[in-house]
Amino acid sequence: MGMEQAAFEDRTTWLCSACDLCYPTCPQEIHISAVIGAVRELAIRAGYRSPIKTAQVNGLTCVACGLCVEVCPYDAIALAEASVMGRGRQVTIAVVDPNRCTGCGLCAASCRSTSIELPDEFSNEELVAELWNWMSSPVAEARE
Amino acid sequence: MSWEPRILVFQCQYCLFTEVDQGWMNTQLPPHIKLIKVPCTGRISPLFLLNAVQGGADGILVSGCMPENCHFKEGNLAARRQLDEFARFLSYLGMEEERLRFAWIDLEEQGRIQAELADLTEQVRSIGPAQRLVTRPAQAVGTSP
Repeated sequence: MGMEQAAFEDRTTWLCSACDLCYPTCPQEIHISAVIGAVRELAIRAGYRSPIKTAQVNGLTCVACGLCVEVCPYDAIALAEASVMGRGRQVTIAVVDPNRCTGCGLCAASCRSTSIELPDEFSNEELVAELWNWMSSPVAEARE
Repeated sequence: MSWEPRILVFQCQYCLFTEVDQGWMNTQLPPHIKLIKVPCTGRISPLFLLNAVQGGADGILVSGCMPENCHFKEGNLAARRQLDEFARFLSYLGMEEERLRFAWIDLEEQGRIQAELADLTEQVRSIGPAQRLVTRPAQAVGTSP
């Protein structure tokens, strides 16, 4: 067929977060997210990787409490042994499967040691900085 | 001059606002309101609310999708559990609970976000400035106190 490559490279294959808002409105009751999920599985097997900015674990501070594993709606996080520079060769920490993670940030909000983070504009640091920057801006200071 | 309360709005980026409302949020917010967009309400860590009240925000609005309409399956439900709990903790510490508001907004509810913001502003204005939990005066990030 020769269309696999187009399907695997298309961002929409990876963007679907399985919210299933399309499902109840589809007149044919097609479970679209399941179809896209299947395409994604095939893409992973063919060696493709998700282009989404996914959650990242700080192995130095993760205590493997498993809270992120519990809250992840996509089962994208698991506790596993990994080699962490400065801690050892076989340290149990949370490990994110970048192909399942959709970057919702639920894990980052629930982590009690801020060891799991979204990159760039949705990181704790950026969001808190945005908040503080506004608080100290002249507009916000006009309250007195 | 009348006092304007500082209001922070946390909004999920897929929030089911109508386009008109989202456009209003993006471009026409009054200067005393600050919009912070997150991928999902589930991304809002209690840490953010804590930073907001520590910095002297007078009111906080958390706006998300209706239950069962979350773009990330159940992020909004998790947010509600976690932030509700934290809101109770803040009120235990002495913050008036009227300062923190949750709005779960449906696609059909055009104009609701404006109404919520106006209402919250009025409510907070009648309570007065938040000072109970302010730990340090607001300052630019990176500068020393």
